[in-house]
Amino acid sequence: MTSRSAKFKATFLFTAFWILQASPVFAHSLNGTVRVEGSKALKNLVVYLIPKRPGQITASNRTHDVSQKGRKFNPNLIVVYRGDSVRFLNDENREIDHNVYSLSKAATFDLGLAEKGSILKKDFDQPGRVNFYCSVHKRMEGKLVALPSPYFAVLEKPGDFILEGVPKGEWELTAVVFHRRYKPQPVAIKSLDGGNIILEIVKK
Amino acid sequence: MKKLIIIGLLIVTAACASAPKPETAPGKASIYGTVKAQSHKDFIKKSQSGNGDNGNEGYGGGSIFGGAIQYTKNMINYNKLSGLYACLIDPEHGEKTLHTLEVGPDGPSPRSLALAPGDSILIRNNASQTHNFFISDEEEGFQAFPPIPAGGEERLTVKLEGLLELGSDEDDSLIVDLLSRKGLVGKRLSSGDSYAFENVDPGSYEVVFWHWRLGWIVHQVTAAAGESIKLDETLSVDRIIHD
Repeated sequence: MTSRSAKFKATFLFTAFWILQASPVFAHSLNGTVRVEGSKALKNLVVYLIPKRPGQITASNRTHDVSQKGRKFNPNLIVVYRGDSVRFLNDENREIDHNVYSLSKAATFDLGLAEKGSILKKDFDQPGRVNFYCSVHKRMEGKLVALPSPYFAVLEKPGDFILEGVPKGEWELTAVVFHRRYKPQPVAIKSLDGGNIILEIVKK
Repeated sequence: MKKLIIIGLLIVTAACASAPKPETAPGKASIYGTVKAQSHKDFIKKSQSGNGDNGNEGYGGGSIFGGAIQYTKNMINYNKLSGLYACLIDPEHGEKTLHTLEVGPDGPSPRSLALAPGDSILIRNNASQTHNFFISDEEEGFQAFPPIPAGGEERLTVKLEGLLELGSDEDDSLIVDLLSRKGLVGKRLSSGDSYAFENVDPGSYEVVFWHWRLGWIVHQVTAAAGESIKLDETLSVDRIIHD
């Protein structure tokens, strides 16, 4: 065997290993429980994993739809993976125009005006939290969270969660907490075979 | 004839709405002007073009003004929007200000405050429950305050700087947006109001126009002795500036 073909074989095996270990066939589930200091019933907790190594996961490039019917963003909390897109649909029953904009650091944008039947689209390339509004209508506002991985769960209240299809590797488990009095205490995950993980949310 | 009367009325209204030039003491300077809020430029454009005249919400088809925006109860009425701030950032300004905040069953009033670190907020808790208020920034900055019982009031001093939120442990929907900058002197206004920072020392200043939902616009101003600088501004989402 020439050294060139041996090199090729090694590269092939290395690449195949990374593809296989990241594929759903070799994926794991991560079970856990969120506990909040003082048993506060915090709403809309977004539990998610951060990859420890860049390139550990690939982009999903999903598109999420948000309705604006009845002058409301629905859903008014959207969780996406970095690189995903959101389509804001003006699906009103009558002639009502909407605008979508945000002043948030993670994504500052003004998508302009959309008539009934039209769609405004926005890509979210950077992780972070985004508050968005319609400049035309009172109380028409929503929240978006762009995450650094597609492995997350949205909890209505503190309790148990399962993150499915997680590739083998090292991760950090943490959460987005909208109530600013509280913050998560991230947990380093070295193995996905470690049983139930406890994620504590504590007062600042 | 009707058109002439309307034009005349518009001229008189514009003259009245213009900010009066303040008197300035010898050796001092003034900065003054008018602040207004405005709908998105695309909404205004559509309204003026008459393209929204087929029963579209907010478009004033058939108006004698040729398609002025007609705000409905569901819409933000930018002509009457309150909570606009004109702020002078004067790092040499050391005077502390007391701001008042009422918290009732319908939420907080006002919904936003512009202030300087070291300023105080007198919070009147008119709600039916005790509130543990706190102030936080987007990172780790955090200030907790002693509980204020229902019907009680407390004076709290702000230490943090930046875009902050005042919240309550007990009610996560209770949010007051705070703009906190060292040396900030703020004037709280409604759309179309005039403001004046009179008899300031000659020098360079930042003038910040802010509304919690519309963002801010910053101007650098240098005022010489005896000078009165007129600075009008319009806040709308399409003019967002983010530092």
